[in-house]
Amino acid sequence: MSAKKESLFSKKNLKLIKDPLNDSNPISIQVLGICSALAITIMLENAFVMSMSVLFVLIMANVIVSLIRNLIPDKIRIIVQLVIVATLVITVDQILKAYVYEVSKQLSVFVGLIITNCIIMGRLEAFALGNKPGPAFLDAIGNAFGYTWILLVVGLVREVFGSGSVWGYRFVPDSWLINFNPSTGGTDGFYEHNGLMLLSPIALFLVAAVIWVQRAKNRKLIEEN
Amino acid sequence: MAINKNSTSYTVTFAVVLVCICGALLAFLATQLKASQQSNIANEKRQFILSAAGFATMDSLKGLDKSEIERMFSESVSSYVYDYEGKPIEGEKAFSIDIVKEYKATKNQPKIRRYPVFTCTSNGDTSYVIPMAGNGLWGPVWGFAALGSDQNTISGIVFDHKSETPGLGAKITEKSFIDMFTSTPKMIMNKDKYMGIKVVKGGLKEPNHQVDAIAGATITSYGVSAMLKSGFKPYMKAWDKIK
Repeated sequence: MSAKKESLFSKKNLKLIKDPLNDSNPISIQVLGICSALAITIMLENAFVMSMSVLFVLIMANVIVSLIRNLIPDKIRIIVQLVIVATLVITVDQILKAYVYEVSKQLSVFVGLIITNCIIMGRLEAFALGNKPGPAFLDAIGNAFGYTWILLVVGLVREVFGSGSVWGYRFVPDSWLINFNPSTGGTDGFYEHNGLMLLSPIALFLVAAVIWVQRAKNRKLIEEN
Repeated sequence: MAINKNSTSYTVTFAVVLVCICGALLAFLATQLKASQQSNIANEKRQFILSAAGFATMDSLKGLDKSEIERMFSESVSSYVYDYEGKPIEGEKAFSIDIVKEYKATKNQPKIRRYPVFTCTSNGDTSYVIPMAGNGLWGPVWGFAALGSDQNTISGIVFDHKSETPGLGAKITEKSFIDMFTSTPKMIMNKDKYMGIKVVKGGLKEPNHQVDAIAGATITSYGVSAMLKSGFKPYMKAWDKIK
């Protein structure tokens, strides 16, 4: 893929953004980065901030690796990528702690876990090492948003059914909830939060549902074996 | 270029240069940001103490300026440090004791631990804020519990944690959990016997000494329970001296 004097937003380059959103989505098609999709999608807000951190790290790492791609010795390229990603992630973590302390507390361990996100290593290895910074930048944006929308969908479903809220705002009033009422001896309310939604495994089912819908709409994605 | 990218010397040089650049960058960043990170942590600690003492809710304190928080804190909070026997330790600053580190350093050795107390006065009411620390599921949990002027009933409490699961264990910081400590009076003493406060599953048998656990977060709940039960006890010996 040698890009000859073409504009940054040529058709071929735009495809770099669009494809990862759907037909080569890092989560639902390539099934990468699943670990964070399971762990941090209990609440919409966490999913969003995590996505934005991944966006930053992925763009920076993709561009930096692409810039020095001709200097990186082949034998140690994975370690080089790892050092760059780790440096970026620690930078994000330190800056969050210094300037937006509240947000950094919410993300806690997840920021550090970006280092191990397979999407980032995957893109560096598969794309940034062989392409110019411009396309690498677009590829990073495409993949980060492909990751983002799945996380937001899973996060939304889990928060709505698991905690009865959206972005922290409760819309299920306490009076709906099934509660023991001591004065009547019976129970009040008719609604109960789905506790399964709070547990990580449910994210697997939700991601599987996304995969199902995607492949039902576009049959050529179905693997033959 | 005439450089052989596959030679060992090139590889080693590249690795050394890269690591030096990244290392220098991070070292620079860390030293630059350290001051503001530490002031964030100190500010949060003041907010926790003020919120436990009932000055304002955590949310409204978070909306205030750091300087405003510092002013409120210095005006209405005085602090002391006691040893296990309840004797005051002179020359120690209670605020600078990191309670999580203190508990870690003196694990299973409560006798050599230092015990800070923050005495807060607002509108003539006095409350005593006691910091405590314990273990959750993934890392440390800690809290600031305020006892009312009877030195027995909980008047306010806040918790925090390092890495509990959001939506499960992390709920110990939320209003729904914290409010259970004040909605019905929770007392640490029953007549003259030390009871502490426990976090339990499956209904409360002693509503004045128990709080409902969080569903799905048993280990974090029990961690908080252990922290509360042991946290108050060493202070019993110091009560007569705290005024």
